[in-house]
Amino acid sequence: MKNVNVVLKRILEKIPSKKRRFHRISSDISAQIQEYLRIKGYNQKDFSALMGKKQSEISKWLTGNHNFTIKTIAAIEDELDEDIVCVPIHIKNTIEVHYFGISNQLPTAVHTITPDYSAELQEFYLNFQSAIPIQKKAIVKAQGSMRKKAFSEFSEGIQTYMVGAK
Amino acid sequence: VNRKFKIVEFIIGDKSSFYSIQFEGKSKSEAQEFFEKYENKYAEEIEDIADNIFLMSGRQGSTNGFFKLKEGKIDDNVCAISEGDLRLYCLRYGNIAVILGSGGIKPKGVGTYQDIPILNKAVKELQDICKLIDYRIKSEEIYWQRYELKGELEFKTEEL
Repeated sequence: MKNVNVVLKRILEKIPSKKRRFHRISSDISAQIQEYLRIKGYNQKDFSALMGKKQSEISKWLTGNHNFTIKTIAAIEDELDEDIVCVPIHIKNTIEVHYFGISNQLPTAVHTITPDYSAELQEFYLNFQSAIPIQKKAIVKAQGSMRKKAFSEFSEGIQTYMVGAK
Repeated sequence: VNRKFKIVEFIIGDKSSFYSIQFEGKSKSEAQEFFEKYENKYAEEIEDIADNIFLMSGRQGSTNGFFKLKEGKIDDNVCAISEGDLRLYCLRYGNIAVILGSGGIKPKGVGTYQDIPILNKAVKELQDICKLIDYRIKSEEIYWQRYELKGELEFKTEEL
């Protein structure tokens, strides 16, 4: 960016970063919708008919600084059959096992690993198996790509409850 | 009234460039005066407009959805960047360049810009300037080089 007017620069510097981030996200969404409309040959009138909204509402969406709800974005993505917002998923592959003894109140042991390597997972599994004769129950929490594997391997030989996002 | 003016840079970006008009005898452009005039009383709206211009310039280009189009006559490029009741009138040249004029408050419920003298003046000024620029673009005295306007950028309204 070059040759920015001094007053514009001064005003931009006053805007809190949170608000500037909102402006950027909102106007990126608007620009991306406009680009899909251009590619598909739709004008704002066509788009308003497609969405079942008034043209004035569509105009508000596209002028930037509109606070889109996730429902609205999902509806637009669905109608245009295109992705508008892409979320980077940064979920670690973790397995967490909470063992419970006879008291059934507090976990007697909690083991957590991030099994990036199969050797680490194998060791964790052996520890789990050796714990079975002493423990009565386990809650296995797993997320990420390890979830399926964890749930199949840690459900044998012990009363196990599985929790965790896909 | 015959007036001299020149086109001056407001913000030059990789996606779109924004210019403004500076009349002879004034030290500031129309856009700069607009921002300074409403900076405190309409701080929220002014910040939104400023950031919109910044983002269009460097990130998204001045695509038509960001503007209120057809604010002037059918054969001119006059449009507006609007936020709440605040209007900043401008001439839009596709997705790559905008010339910012002046503007003001258009309260809700007021029909058109013609009903408000300050807005009427801002639009009429831009309509005249649009004719002068169009003439010079056709005669190739001014031209776009990538996103930048080059050539003879000083005008007299008596040329109309």
